[in-house]
Amino acid sequence: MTNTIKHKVREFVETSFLFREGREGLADGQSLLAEGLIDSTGILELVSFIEAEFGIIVEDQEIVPENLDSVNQIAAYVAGKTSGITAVAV
Amino acid sequence: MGETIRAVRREDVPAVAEMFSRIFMKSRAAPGALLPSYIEEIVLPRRGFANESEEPRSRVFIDANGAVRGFIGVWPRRMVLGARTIEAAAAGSLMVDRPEEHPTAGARLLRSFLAGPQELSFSETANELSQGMWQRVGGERLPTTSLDWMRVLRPSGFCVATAARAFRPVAVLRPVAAGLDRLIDAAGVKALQLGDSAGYTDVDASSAEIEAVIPQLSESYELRPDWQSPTLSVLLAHAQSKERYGDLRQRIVYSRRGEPVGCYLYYARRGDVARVLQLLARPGTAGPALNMLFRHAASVGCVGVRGRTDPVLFDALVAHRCLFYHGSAMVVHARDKSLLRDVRGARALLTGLAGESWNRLIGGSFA
Repeated sequence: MTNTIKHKVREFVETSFLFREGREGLADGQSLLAEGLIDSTGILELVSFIEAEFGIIVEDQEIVPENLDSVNQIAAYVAGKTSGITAVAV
Repeated sequence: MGETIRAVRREDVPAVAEMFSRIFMKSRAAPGALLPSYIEEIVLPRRGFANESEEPRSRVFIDANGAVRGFIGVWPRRMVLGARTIEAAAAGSLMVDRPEEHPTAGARLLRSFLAGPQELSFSETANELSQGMWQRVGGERLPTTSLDWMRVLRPSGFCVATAARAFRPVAVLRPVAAGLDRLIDAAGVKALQLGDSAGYTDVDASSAEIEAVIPQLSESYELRPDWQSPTLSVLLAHAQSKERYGDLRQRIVYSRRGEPVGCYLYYARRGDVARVLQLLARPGTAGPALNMLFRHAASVGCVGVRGRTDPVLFDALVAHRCLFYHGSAMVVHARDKSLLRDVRGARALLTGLAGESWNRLIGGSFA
């Protein structure tokens, strides 16, 4: 389950942020913010993707780097939400 | 305590004013009393506004230490779309302090605003970044209201005024420019000549007179404010109190039969480019109204006129040799996609007094 989520997240991140910036490699734990791959617009794009792809509602207080800053964090957050557990302290 | 978004409170106002002064006014000094006082007036519920009995709709971003680090100004208004009334809200002054430390704050502020009780959300001052953000959450740019226009009246004076905005001492060249413009005028350059408005007259108008004609003249727009909530008199009072663009001139255009067929409100300062707050005209009279505006601006010494396009004025602006450029964009958002489609297809009046430009955060000096 988590691997499927991670695969979809990774595919989205690569297509939407990595290739657009002309970058090639990104580790699953690497920070999207620190790498300059994502800004406020990217955050909104990512949130829209998560809501549409996984059928969950991302609450305002969950839009924090702890949930959205790397492929691993996004996948863990989505896995937590889809299993009914909010992944991060808010 | 985690980061949070909430409605602005009175105690947040000093921090919001300090941020606004630093980010939008590029001031290094702490703001005096006037800016916080105005922000308090404009973001806390006031008589005459749609939200006078509600909690403030403007939002702040609070960091983990409890400090105000972000803000979005929200101004609710009731609008008419065809035969129905809709609740709308304009947003502006979106800002985040130290965005590198709060990378999600801007996104959260925008989402929080869009999740509000209004059916239609819009902003007439979206920069490139904001446009992208609005579009990512399903908003759209309205192309016909996302262009600025410019009409040069005195080319030399216009160049000096433009240069002086970047480097103030250039303004000493104004007398030289005025002389050159007299020569150009005498040469009769066709591109600079103003059109004919035979059969129409225009006169200065009091606020009461303007308030009486604006609702009539805006009826040619399918989407327009109801002009009751907020009341036009409140919006006008704000618009009249701006300092940076010069005095607000208010004039009504009459037909030969003495009927009001247009009106224009613009800020004028001799030797500078005039800024139009609103120009409204009955169908078929946008051209004469524009021409009246240009002639009046020239008569008070303005070297050019600038304003915002809208669907009713567009053709007349082209016919009057205006230059177009893209500055801020008009962005709209509605959770109801059929409403968004209707808004996109409507002749929409969303700028000036109908948008956010009436407020003094745009064009106030607070000195």
